[in-house]
Amino acid sequence: MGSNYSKETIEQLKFGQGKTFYGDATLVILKAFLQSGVSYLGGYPGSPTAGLIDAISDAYEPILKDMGIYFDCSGNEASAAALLSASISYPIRGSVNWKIVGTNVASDALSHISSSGVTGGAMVIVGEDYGCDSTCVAERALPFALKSTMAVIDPRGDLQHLAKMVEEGFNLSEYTNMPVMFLLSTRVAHIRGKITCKDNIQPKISMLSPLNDLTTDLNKIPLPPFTYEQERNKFSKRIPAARQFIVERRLNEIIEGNDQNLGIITHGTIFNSMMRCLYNLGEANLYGESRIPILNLNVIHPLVPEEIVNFLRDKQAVLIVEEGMPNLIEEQIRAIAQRAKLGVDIFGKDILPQAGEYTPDHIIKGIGSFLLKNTTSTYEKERIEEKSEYIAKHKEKAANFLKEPVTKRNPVFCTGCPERPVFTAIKILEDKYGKSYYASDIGCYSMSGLPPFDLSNSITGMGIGLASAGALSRMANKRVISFMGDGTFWHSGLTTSITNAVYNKQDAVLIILENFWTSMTGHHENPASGRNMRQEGVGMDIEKALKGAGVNWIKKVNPYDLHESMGALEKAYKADKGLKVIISKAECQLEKTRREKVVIKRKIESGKRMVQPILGIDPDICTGDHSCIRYNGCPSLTLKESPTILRDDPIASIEHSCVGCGLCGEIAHAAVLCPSFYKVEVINNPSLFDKLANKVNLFFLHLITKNGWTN
Amino acid sequence: MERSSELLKILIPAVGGQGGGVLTEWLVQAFFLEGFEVQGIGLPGLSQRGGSTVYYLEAHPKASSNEKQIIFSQYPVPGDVDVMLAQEFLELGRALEEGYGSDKTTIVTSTHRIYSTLEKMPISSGIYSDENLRKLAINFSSKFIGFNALDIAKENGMDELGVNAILLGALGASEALPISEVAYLKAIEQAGVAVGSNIKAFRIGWDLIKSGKYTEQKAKPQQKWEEFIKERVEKLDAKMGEEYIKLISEIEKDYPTRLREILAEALFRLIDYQDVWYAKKYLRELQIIYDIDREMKGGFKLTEVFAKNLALWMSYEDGIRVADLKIRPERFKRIKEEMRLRDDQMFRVTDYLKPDAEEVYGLLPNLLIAPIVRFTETNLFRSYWPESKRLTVGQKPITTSFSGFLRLWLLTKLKFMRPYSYRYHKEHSLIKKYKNNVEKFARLNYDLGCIVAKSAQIIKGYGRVRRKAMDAFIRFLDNIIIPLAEYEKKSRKAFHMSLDIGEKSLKLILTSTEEISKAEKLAQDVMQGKAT
Repeated sequence: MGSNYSKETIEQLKFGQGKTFYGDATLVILKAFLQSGVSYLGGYPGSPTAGLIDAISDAYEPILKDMGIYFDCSGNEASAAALLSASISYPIRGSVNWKIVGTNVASDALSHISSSGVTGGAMVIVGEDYGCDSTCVAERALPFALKSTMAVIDPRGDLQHLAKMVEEGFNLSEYTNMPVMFLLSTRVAHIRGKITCKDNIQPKISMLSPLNDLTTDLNKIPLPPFTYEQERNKFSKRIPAARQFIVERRLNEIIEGNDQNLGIITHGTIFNSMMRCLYNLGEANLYGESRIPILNLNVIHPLVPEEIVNFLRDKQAVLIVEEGMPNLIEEQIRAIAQRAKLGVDIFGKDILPQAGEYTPDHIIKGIGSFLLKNTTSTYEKERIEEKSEYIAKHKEKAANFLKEPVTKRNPVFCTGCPERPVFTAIKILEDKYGKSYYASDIGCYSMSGLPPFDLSNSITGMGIGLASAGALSRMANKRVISFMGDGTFWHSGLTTSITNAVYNKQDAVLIILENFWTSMTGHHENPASGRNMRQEGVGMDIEKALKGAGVNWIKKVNPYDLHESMGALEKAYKADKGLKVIISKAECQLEKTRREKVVIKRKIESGKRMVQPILGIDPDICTGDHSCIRYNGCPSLTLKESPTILRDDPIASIEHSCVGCGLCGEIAHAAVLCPSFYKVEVINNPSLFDKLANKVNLFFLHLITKNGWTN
Repeated sequence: MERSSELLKILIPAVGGQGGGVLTEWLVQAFFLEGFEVQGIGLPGLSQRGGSTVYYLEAHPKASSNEKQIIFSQYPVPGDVDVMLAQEFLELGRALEEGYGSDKTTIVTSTHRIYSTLEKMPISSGIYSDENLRKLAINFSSKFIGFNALDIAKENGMDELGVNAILLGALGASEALPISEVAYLKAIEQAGVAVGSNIKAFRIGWDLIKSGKYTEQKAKPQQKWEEFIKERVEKLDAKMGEEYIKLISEIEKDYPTRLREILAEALFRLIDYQDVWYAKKYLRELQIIYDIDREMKGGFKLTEVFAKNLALWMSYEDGIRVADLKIRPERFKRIKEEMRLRDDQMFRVTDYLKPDAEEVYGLLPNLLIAPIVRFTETNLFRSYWPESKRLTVGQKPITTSFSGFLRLWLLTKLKFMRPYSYRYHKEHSLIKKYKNNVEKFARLNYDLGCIVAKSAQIIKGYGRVRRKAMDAFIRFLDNIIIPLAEYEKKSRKAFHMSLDIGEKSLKLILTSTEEISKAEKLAQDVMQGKAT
């Protein structure tokens, strides 16, 4: 992985008390880890926490290693969660991270660790992505925490606050013996700004000063009879301790408004949006002062009944603005109010949307109807109505302004991507063999389901694609084809999909796209990279693993050679029943280009002979039927005006961003499309031999053309 | 509660991988330098894969907040954005459609387009209308500054990433934000990304707006008629050039000015393609349609569409034509220019050629090959050699080398045989069908004639792709237009239905030739009274 953060940026992590630090939210979290004295870190990359792994990885050599902090390049989320076990019996602080859906993978480990409880502060940073800005489903982390009894911190979107909540999170975890979940929403994760630093704390137990004696404490092992005691502890000791801590440290924030009758309860993720809505309604200012009292929950589990009752008491009506389903905060508050026999009217998802991301237009409408229900003045009603409905009306006006909606822009495989040719090959073969059942998986190749390929019948989760077609392999008269990247293979695909397929004699074709990187998250090392994120070499081999698991039919192909990959696919289509695996092996082009661009430039400048390929299209030969695009979808293959005024429609054209992978030419060949494509090989610093050969060549060319044809 | 008018909200709609993150960083740094509290947010997600993405900034002057902490919003609010700075025109349109622009928004945008996959896929053109985007931008802004920053970057020897600093310069000069030139420049320096070229690009953008000389889009320079002809005459040999000039004087006499350029290009193309007699043949065919056009006082739309499509069809791309175009000196000159090759660099060109059997034997004389082809279409032959098993002749000649060049050069020498070839025979029998139908339908109803004339636009591509297109074209005539018109003629109706379904069908087929079945069903349903 190329460094994501500059050296200067990473150096800031050494800053002490009072210094100003500039960076994004993930970097701020790492700084807060150091200020909390963590001993170990780990995680599995995914949006929006991938930046945190980048930061840790970039900081490992220059800073973390010297502080003795261990960094685990976790194999998947379960391994990451398991890492927290170090904190069960020893006063060691540590943190791991993953994206929301990774919580599913991690939950087994989380359940057990939560049952045992922790001695040192243990924190999971979960990338909460309820708006689905990346490949994931709309789910919240909160229910996981509830079932396993973990405290959940949901900080509002402010970097200084974020750092404070990380530090308090470790304190909370130690005070209560609970592991803590810390939600990092997509938008908050990508904030850039400044914070004021504190000194870093050197961990007492670390790689520099390891533990000498290890204790055995059966009370901390989740086996009967100890499990029962652990379960009792959760509710008799840990939760009450958490409530006490939350109140004492004022982790939840109350904004005292002067309205006696109304109130709003909300939580960190959407606090900022909600304040902006109140500001736009004229009910609050930019500095967090509001007419209506507000209780903002930065800790959404456990709730503190006394705190809630105190806020609700003597109020006529309270609105709960809670993003996401199930609306566990609202339901709990309703129960608290009922138990305390408070006569307050509680509003929530009855006037706000049930599901979906709470963007400002939704929130302002909800607050508007809450205010309208609780206002008698006609003048006020009109004012609220106008202001709260302005956005919706404005949006509608803009959306309906044009008859023809603006064309969507789907994400596409990058220029020169080695995964694209595999889908091209399958697409071309569809003409001969018909459609198959395509079980996709999680990775860049999930995009095979989008135009121009439309090759995806299902996406079921990470490493699960092939397994998801288990029943259909036997119960549908269709060939089953599944795709899996190298990252996904090592994450869980090997066990969940491949051993399952061999064990059940599943009849399917699996294509493993080995590009040496976990590219989708921003190019993280994975076992196929040949080294880990600490830049230590490792030798792990997909083919050997497959053989070990009992896969007998394995073919390796170079994806850029369409002829070869189409041949392998045809063989797999015709082969006997069973699992056929094709490994398509070529490095992620984005990463390769980034790395090699500089090297090539330097070589050319130093006078070395370098041949650089780039593809082109003859504009007078292209008739503009765009079939090449329908088999390809490369960003550098685009449209331009035809050179002849006789042709109204645009023709295909290749932009300078072309990296010369040659796929478009190969497609024209393999799908028998057209003769418009050509490859130009530019010879920089030609050798003497090049020059001589050229002379001979030109001599013969002159013989037949007799014109001043020069090259 | 009091509202501060000093909170600034800036939205940056962008395409993933185009440097939006750096652009946002410059603005954040510039605001810091001017004593603002700032929050910048980027939403990469899947963005490095060329999808839509958006960056958002909020800033507030520290001096007026009395050191109190500002609560920034992480989400832009529709109708509440001060500045929209767009890297690409369609993405601006998308953000405007979502309601972010309003009468208090200043828009600074590049009007260049990065086409989305969905725009690129249809057979005809799926490109979203620039006109629509412009209308949106003007209606949902107080000030709209739009110019093609990519063209400017390229003119100045920069790549597409140069767009960002040019836009920043334009934004600076527009004075939409309280940031000084010095602060912008210092921000670029601090960010440390390609500082030299970005400062140069910033200046270009700045000067463009300050000088007031920016134009939204460069109008194409109108070429003079004489030059237009001269350019073409020069490409022909002396004798043909003379004949061409003669033909041009004919069309100058007979045809209206608006058709002149199209005809001049068509005649040039056909002389270049075959010979002068071939161009004359074209003019004769055209004359018939032109006469109808004049008779019916249609305003020459019919002639224009027919003239374009007939010329393209008559110059169908066979092996001889492709070989001819591939080895012209102009081609290698063009490649050299496009690659911006210097004299100390050499290059070689490899072509991807793969004609299928039909394209190969199509070059042979009709008399010889037609009986054989007829035999191959019999069931007997098909049982031995199914249609799916197609022969192709794949080769990748290096056209800049003597051996590769020679192969194509020899092929061009077959040009004299073309009029006797099987392919010529086949194409021209279909061209006749096309011409006859345009004639027939134009006499029936002018607009219907125009639709039929336009339908030849379906015919594109090579080999298999072209055969599919040809099939769709024939089915469009035989199964849609002809029966519909007959049906309406019988019931003595005006041709509303034929026009409506004809247009809809054509639109479908021009998205993908696979859609022909859908179009046929549409026509059938209408005739059976299932739909209106």
